[in-house]
Amino acid sequence: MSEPSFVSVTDLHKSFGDNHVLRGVNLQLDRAESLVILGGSGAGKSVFLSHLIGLVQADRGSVVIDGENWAELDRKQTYGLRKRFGMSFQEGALFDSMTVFDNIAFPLRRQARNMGQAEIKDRVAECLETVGMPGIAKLMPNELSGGMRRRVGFARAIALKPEILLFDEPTTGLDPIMTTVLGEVIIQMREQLKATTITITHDISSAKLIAGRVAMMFKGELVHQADRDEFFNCDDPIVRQFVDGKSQGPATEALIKR
Amino acid sequence: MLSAIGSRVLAFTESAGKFSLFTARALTALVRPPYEWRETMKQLERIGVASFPVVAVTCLFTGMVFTLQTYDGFARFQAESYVPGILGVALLRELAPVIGGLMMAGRVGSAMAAELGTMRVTRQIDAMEVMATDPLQYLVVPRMLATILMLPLLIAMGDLIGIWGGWYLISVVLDAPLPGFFDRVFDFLEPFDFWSGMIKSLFFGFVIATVGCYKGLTTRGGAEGVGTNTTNAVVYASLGILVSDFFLTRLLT
Ligand SMILES: Nc1ncnc2c1ncn2[C@@H]1O[C@H](COP(=O)(O)OP(=O)(O)O)[C@@H](O)[C@H]1O
Ligand SMILES: [Mg+2]
Repeated sequence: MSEPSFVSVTDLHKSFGDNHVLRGVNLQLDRAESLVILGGSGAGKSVFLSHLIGLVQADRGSVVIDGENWAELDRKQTYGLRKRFGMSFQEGALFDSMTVFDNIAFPLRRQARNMGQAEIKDRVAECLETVGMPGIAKLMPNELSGGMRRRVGFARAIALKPEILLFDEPTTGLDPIMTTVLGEVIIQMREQLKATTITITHDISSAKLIAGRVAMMFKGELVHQADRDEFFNCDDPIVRQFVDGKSQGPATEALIKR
Repeated sequence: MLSAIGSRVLAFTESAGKFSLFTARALTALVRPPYEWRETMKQLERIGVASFPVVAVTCLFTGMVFTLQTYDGFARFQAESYVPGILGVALLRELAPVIGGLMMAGRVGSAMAAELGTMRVTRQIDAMEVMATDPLQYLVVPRMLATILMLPLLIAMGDLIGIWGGWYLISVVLDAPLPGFFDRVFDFLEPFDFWSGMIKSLFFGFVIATVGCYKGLTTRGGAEGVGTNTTNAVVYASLGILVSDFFLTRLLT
């Protein structure tokens, strides 16, 4: 590798008390690559995404984005680097005191200060259209179903057209059609905006759709990173068990222990 | 046994340190632009205007009860005419700021802890961080400003309402009008009686907002965590008010 990767994670460790969640994660990702992370519940996928965007600091190891190491940034630089990110949360994490419109407009108002009211309005409408829910801008988050909230969270993440997009289980609990639609949006973001996307999902078919590369989070490590076709055809027992959804195998023990 | 005490002392020192650090960071955020005017206006309304009825009723009844008690006692040596002056001093210097402050800790401090706590456990705080917005600046500073500004205002109005309550009690409920009741109150009072109450209210407002926001932002563990932290916010803010009241009184007498 001649020039350093866009996203570079080396030997990342994180514990919460006695719970050693991340145990040496390594990842190199170039610009405009699309990574899908698979893995059982509680494997540490969400915690890993929090490290990527600097919400949590590593116990050991480093997370470097485009040459900038989160651990070495001061407050201003931290927020500066975060402006290049968009993230949708597994929990949705919509501001429940604001309407859907204000939720999606939040990053636009906060970060694109030169944007006018009309422009913001257009962009919010466009984002809602993208996730298949035009005309719900005036509703409050508590008036939406779980799947709708998740899609609003997705819309909020892409509103600023950021360089790096992190999606934490964006399609869990959505119907198959919407799952494919969101998958296509992720592909679009990469192809049109040259965005780097990292998506956590349990849905194998959408993983096959959006992934350039796939990695498996297992026992706090990213095991078996490979290009899409290679990944889904490999015969690593852990990967095979997960992809084929079998109840017996090497991954079962790790899942049930948690 | 000894190690149990040791670890509790250690835990206390640690949380006291964390709280001081939080307070220092919040104060830095207070003076650092950008200023969130919209949010601050919203909080001024929610904290100030909406709390008026509670503070008004509290001060009204405090003034009436205090008057009833002192009137009864002073009547034993025919000193009823001193009641208005005593009422004014007690209310302005002590009763309105402390009892009003305690009510506000229950009303406003708990609301802050519950709201920010819910935002923390549902990851709305993280979402805000991700969108390059400092929760200290966007959430904490407006609440702090609003409470610090509004509590003295509310208590000043409460002072007047409490004094009126004393007058109402004597002239209407006891039907023993004291001529020149209000003149007696205001002749007896010195400006510093009023200002010392204002300084107290301002400080209590600061205590309520910092404790409420700190407890909210450090919430962990779902609905249960929100519950315990909300309770703790009220308990600690109230204790903070009562303890600091002693020291402030020492300073201001
Ligand atoms: N803030 C936290 N404090 C303590 N433990 C946490 C925290 N966040 C996550 N964990 C623990 O880390 C582990 C991995 O969680 P997570 O990354 O959410 O899993 P998943 O792969 O399903 O997204 C879990 O055991 C969880 O209990
Ligand atoms: Mg997760």
